[in-house]
Amino acid sequence: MKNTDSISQEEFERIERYLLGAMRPDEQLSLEKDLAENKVLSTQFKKVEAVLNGIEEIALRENLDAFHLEWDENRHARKKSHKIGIPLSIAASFLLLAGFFTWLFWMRPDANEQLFATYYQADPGLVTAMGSSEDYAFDRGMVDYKMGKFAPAIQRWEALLPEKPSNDTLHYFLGSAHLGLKNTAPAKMYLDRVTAQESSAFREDAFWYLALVNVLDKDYEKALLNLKKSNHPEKEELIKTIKEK
Amino acid sequence: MQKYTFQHFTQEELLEGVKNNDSKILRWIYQDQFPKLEKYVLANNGDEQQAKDVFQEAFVALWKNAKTGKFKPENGTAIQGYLYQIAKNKWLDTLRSSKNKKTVPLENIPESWDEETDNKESNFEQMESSFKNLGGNCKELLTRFYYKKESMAIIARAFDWTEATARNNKYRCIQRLRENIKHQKIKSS
Repeated sequence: MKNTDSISQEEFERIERYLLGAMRPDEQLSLEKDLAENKVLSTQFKKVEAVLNGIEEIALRENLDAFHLEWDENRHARKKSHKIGIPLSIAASFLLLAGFFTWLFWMRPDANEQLFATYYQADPGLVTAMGSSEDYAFDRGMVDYKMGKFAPAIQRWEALLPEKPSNDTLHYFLGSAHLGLKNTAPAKMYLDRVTAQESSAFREDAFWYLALVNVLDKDYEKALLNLKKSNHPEKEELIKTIKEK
Repeated sequence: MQKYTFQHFTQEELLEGVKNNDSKILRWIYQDQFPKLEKYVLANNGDEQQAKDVFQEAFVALWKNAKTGKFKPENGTAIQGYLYQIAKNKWLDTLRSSKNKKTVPLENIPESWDEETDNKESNFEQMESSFKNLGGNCKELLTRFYYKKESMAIIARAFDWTEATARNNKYRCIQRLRENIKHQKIKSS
């Protein structure tokens, strides 16, 4: 009897294409017929299906942990701000009032910064798989990035550039991290490199963040051009806001 | 059907996002719904860790049901309501089982127990630990392709490989993962 543990690349890819919905209807029917007639193939099919589903579930669970960590950090930040006692809060009121006038007259953020703050949300980052990874440095940078520690993330990732000078993932997250620090010049440089790669998965997101770089730089014409190339759900709203300025 | 559940996403968009592992959608659903469930668990003899565990199990159940078509949204807040309901039921089950914990004599365990009941959970644990033992490139390659749904062309570029190499490496990584799983099974038997 044929061993169901071993599967050729051809057989594997045939099953994989079926499971990913990438087969033509006639191929699907043919595989379904073979599955009904061939027990070994049917067992292999179940095993491949279990492995592919498992990979997705593992990655999802990692993501859920990251979402939770992020939510928990925000909650602690909120709690901290609520812990101010009553007498302290009275004093704080005076300070706030004084602060408000200082802000009003000297430090009021420019309209472009306000616009940026309204639409900017850092890219959530990639799933990291720390461990025996050869890309440990990149993953380690991603952990920093996800925690909002943009400067150490940049330091780790820029050290990887000589090795992978044309890696769009690296450029995209370097751009994102610099934007998180409002370093518009390097953010623009890295994001431009991503948009120059037509098949990059990050290209459309890079256009959105480039538009936000342009907003920070008060270059609204370029912002509009970049927004048109982005597919971000808020792009129309931002285009409208910029045009109304 | 109410069109918008909040400023951007319709139920259809949320469902598509869940099916396609869209990180922005998954994050939004998680962070929008978890506080509500946590409040419920804390008010019903649970702690924060238990709330997290039960919510994540419910989230995975929603995700699986969305992918297999078992769940279809029928109103403007269907996904959120469904997730909350699963999580709440899971917590009630936990409470019930901890109250009525009884040992089952060995002779009463049905023969099919090992195959059908126990295996699902332990299979996933074996799979998880086997996946973690893969090399970094394999983990990234498989995650990008099967979870993030990136094309082979994009993956090949990210690794500075040709598409053919990326495809062959994907097959090799799957084989390695299956080998690891096999060893895990032998170890645990």
